Amino acid sequence: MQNFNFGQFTADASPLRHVDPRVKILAGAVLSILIFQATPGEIVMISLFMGLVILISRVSLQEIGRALKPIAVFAALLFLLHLFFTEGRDIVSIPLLPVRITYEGLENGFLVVWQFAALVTAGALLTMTTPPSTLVAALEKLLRPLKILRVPTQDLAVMVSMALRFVPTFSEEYNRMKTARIARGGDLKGKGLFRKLKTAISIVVPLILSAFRRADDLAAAMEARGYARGPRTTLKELRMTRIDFAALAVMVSFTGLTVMIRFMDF
Amino acid sequence: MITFKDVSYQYSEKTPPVLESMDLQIPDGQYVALIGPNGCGKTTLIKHLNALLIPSRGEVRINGMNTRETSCHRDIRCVVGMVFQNPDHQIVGMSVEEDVAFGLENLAVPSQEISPLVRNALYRVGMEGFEKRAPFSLSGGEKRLASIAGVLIMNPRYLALDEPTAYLDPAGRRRILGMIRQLHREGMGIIHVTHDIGEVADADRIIVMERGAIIMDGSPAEVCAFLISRDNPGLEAPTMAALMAKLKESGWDLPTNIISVEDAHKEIHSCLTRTAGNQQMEHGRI
Repeated sequence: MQNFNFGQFTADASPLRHVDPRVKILAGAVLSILIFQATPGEIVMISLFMGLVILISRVSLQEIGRALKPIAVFAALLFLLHLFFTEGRDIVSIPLLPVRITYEGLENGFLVVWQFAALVTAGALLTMTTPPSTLVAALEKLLRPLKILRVPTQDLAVMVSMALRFVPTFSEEYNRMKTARIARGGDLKGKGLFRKLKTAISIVVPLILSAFRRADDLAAAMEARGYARGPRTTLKELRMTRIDFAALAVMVSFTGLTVMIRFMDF
Repeated sequence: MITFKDVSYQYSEKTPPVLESMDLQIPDGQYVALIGPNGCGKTTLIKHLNALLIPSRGEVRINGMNTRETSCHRDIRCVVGMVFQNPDHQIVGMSVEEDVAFGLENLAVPSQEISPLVRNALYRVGMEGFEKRAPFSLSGGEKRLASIAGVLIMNPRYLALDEPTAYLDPAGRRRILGMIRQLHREGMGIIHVTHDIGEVADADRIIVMERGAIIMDGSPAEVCAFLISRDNPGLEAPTMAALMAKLKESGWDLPTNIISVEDAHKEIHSCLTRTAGNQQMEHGRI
């Protein structure tokens, strides 16, 4: 848990930090659609584009690697499932065993793993280069039209902000509980699924209980400082600058180019 | 003025009342300390000051505003600022400046006016330069000061602090107590909940609570004499007062209502001077 960095703002010196978070969220959303719709030819183009964004952002590959690490096992599992269970032209076939590896399986496996990794990288880039508070302010602004439908957008934004605020707190609390268990002779590295499950429960249950207690105290503290339904302002007002319009133009051009190439392929 | 009139409070109908028929008045600018054993109702009482709890019976008025009227709650919370016992449970922002700004954001103060007020609040608690720091990276004392700044920014007339020195090292304690004294000198009313009477020797008034009721309300010297005269397992007389009582038992002519080290030093010094003078006079006669 100490090495878990997804969702945490780490790149304070990144030039992308100064881009309006609304532009980054919109760009992330468009990029996600492109990633999901990508053909093998577009994979190269999108990968190159993302590589360029990583280069400009000055986020190190190590940090990207750390964000991807938690999904590695899941991605490998997805790859193997596609590799062994996709019908198509055989690459390897063992007659006595029901195991077949096909060209299509290999292609699908690569595509799914790439899509998954690209999405996580895009998400990590967004959160690493955006202070959580501005991210929440951007969400609030982007959701504002939903106010017509009586969606409490301000409350939603505060909720997201609280959730992000408590990521490091719970990480700290988890480590404290783990240390307390070790200090009392608890074995956290025990083998066997049952044992691991038992250990996890013994830490997760008090963690959840403590979360509820904290939520209660926090609600009282927020109320004591005047938090209630009604108009609110924010410390930082978001304003679009030239950099933001330039970033938006780059994203629109790249999306247009991708769509055009696909159109030409047809 | 804060007024409690026949206030009783029960968390549920099945549990006994935590506060019982309490009458209390706290004038503007007064430094009031609340002491008492665990579970005597100190925290419950100060939660009434901020309209976080509404009395089961009786009424609480803050500058004339009845806490039962929900339309007054925002104004009441601007008059009485509340600092909770554990700063980790009340910091809402992801950076110190965001946390300090929270109260003003709730009051819908225009964004461009918030930043200078945040800087000023942090300056008042001696935390200028901490604006961009993440709250969880601060020390216990710094977190406490940041919480106080978050309340001061709303410009309250009273500050209610629930055990503000709990879990702090001596340096952190000194810093917080110095801050409280400074705010009192500036004219702010202070309601300071504590277990340690020694840290509220400067208070204008100390209220001793037991089982939801006020059992003593007086000056620090009066409360000190009360605690010395009474055997109470939940409350201890200040160390200096206990020392003076022991010396008195040994024949020293000393008062026992002493809380601070400075006062104890002064009394012992004058007692020694008196004794030395008497001895010289006796030698002269011989």
